[in-house]
Amino acid sequence: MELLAIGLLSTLALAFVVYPLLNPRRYLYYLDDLLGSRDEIQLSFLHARKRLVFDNIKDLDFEHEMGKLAKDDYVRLRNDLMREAEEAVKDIDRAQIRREIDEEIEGEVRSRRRTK
Amino acid sequence: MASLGNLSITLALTFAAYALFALFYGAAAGRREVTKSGEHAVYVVFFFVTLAVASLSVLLLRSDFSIEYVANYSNRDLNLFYKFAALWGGQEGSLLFWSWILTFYGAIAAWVNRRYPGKLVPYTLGVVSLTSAFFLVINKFAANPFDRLVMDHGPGLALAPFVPADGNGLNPLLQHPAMVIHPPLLYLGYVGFVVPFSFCLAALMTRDLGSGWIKMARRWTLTAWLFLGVGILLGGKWAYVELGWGGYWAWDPVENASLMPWLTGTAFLHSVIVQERRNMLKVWNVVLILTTYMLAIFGTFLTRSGLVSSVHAFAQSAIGNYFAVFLILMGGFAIYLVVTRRGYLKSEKQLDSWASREASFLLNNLILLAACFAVLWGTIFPMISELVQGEKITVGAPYFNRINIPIGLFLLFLTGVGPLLAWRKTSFASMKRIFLWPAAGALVVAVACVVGGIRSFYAALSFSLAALVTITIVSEFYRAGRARMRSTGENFLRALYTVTAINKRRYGGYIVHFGFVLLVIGFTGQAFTTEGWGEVNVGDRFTVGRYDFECLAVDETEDPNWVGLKATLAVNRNGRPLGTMYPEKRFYTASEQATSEVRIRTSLKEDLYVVFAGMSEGNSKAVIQVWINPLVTWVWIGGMVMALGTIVTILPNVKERRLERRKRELDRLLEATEPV
Repeated sequence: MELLAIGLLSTLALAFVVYPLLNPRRYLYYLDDLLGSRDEIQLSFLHARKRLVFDNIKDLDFEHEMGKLAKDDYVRLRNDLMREAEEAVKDIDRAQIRREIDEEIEGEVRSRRRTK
Repeated sequence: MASLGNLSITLALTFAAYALFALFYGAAAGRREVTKSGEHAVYVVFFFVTLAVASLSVLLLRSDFSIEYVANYSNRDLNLFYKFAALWGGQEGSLLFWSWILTFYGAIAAWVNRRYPGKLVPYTLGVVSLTSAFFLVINKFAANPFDRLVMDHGPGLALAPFVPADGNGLNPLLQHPAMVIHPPLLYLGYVGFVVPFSFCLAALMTRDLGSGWIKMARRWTLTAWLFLGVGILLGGKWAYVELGWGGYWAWDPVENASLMPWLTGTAFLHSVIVQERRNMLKVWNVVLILTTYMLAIFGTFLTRSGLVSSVHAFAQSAIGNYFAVFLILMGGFAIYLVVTRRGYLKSEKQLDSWASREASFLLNNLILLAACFAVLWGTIFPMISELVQGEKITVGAPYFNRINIPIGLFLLFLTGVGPLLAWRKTSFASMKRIFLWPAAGALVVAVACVVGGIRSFYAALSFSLAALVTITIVSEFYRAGRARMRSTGENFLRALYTVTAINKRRYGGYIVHFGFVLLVIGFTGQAFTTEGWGEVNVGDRFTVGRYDFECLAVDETEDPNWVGLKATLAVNRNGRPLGTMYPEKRFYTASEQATSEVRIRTSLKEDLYVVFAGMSEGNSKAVIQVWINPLVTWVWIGGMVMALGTIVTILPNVKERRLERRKRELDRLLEATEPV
């Protein structure tokens, strides 16, 4: 009886495990491979950095409102963070421009191949 | 039922091996259907381990003594509740229980991250499956709880099955509610660190070493840390009420083994904040979580290898070798990954000033590692001395206390100072503004201690620092509530609630810090403990401290599981009657073990702790031991506050909940438009 139960359960388990292999097109590719270009990875990293700097500015403003920071400290730290934010935004702009140029070039190459 | 259990372990191991292969291969080859199959296998492994645990539970509840494990750790007269608890009372059962918790965590990790589009998750689940496979190998081949009891009838005769009339029973020290829950909580903690470790290893393998893996691992780490902390606290509580030596922490090797990963886990939880905010301390964070995992496995190795003698330790067995090999291989692989990926672990920023929050976190890391190393050295020193000199030199409480008390006090200092410092650099003007009242409070308490007659330097310092930290925490909440109140017009309480709800991680952390303050206050009470004893006949009296005791009776007592003696003591304090206490001495017949049933009269100020130690020579007088333990209740209260604070930090913030809702809506949209 126990052997019968375990046999049945094993069969069901095996079916459950094998099921995804029977229908591979049901599953999307990995984002890492699908969007595997260096530019895309770089862009997502830069956006994360920008979000981090903006969060840091928000926290700094709140700590200043709390009265934890002397005025000079607050001004100095905020200026540093604003400079970081400017750099992050510029880096994003540069990366986006580079990606657009890459896409245009690739588009040109593809259309030439089709023409041939 | 035993066959079902045995087969379940075999099937779990088989599917774990498949999961390991499918997840690593599928991720490396970019074949998502293969990793999906691996994820399904992770659920199946959990299912079969659950079946094995259920089988063992049924065998225990049925008292099937044909199974060696059941015969060793249960008996017919054992309370049903403790029969179930025998599941983790012995080596084999506790290892199976460990596998169950590990595969449970694996299944949860697979489910929660099932829609994650990157390769981090399959590699993470692959590492979890690797650890699961290791433990299942032990369950199957080295410590199988379903082995049948056999008897050797003599030379030339085959071993024959044997069913004793009754079992050996559960260790009487384990027959206590706190002890029943203590091992499961500890395992939930130890095992829980496997998941953040796996995220880390996956991040190293995929070279995705930004803050992404940390964000995904954070709640797992907090959960494991919470369970381990509560488990350690409950263990201390159990030791206090059961063992009858008047204390709650003996620096026992197995106790130390649970403390070490908690210390490094604490360092990790703080250090990741610096990486998230400033992209610094990346190497530290990787090393801390790897160390935490290795210490968790090492702790298990220590408890089960027979290398240490401890009230907690299982009997010596060969599974120590399995653990040693696994530790070496896993540690070696982790070190290889860290070295080859070191380029991705460079900090993007430098330390601007030692008067900064980053610096306080760095000091925090150093001090916690120092404490961990000190504990580790003291724990393994007996083994090293035996190896080198052939003689086991034990290291006792004085060594651990001498090193860890100053370390703990410095940690308390950092707890108060760190959150007040600004990121990057704090000017002297800011420091004056924020430290004035906390420093003043600490000074007042220090003076009060001296005036009050406290001569212990560490005790006075402890109370002063407790005041400093408490004032900084209160001021943080007060300033935040007031700032919010000014900008929104909300009333103060509403503003305070909103500020905490929006940033549960920070303010939950402050609650944890406050719990730590209470814990330290409780520890400090040990400096003022009073001890005494009396040998009494009926009618005799004795005094310890401000308490007077009169022995009213010494009676025999019994139960199906034990026989014993009970003393009836009338207690007075400063001449006022407090009531009666009934300490007992018991002898458990099945396991032939004697225990003391401690009686404790608890208050916030002190505990009166009374033990019936036994009968004097010639059985003429009852020997009663008494401890007066000031402030010990604050240890338990502090622990509970720390647990509550941790729960607050684990809960999602309002913003996170909104983001999660949007993510779920997007996922539903994606599913509706997925290609078939």
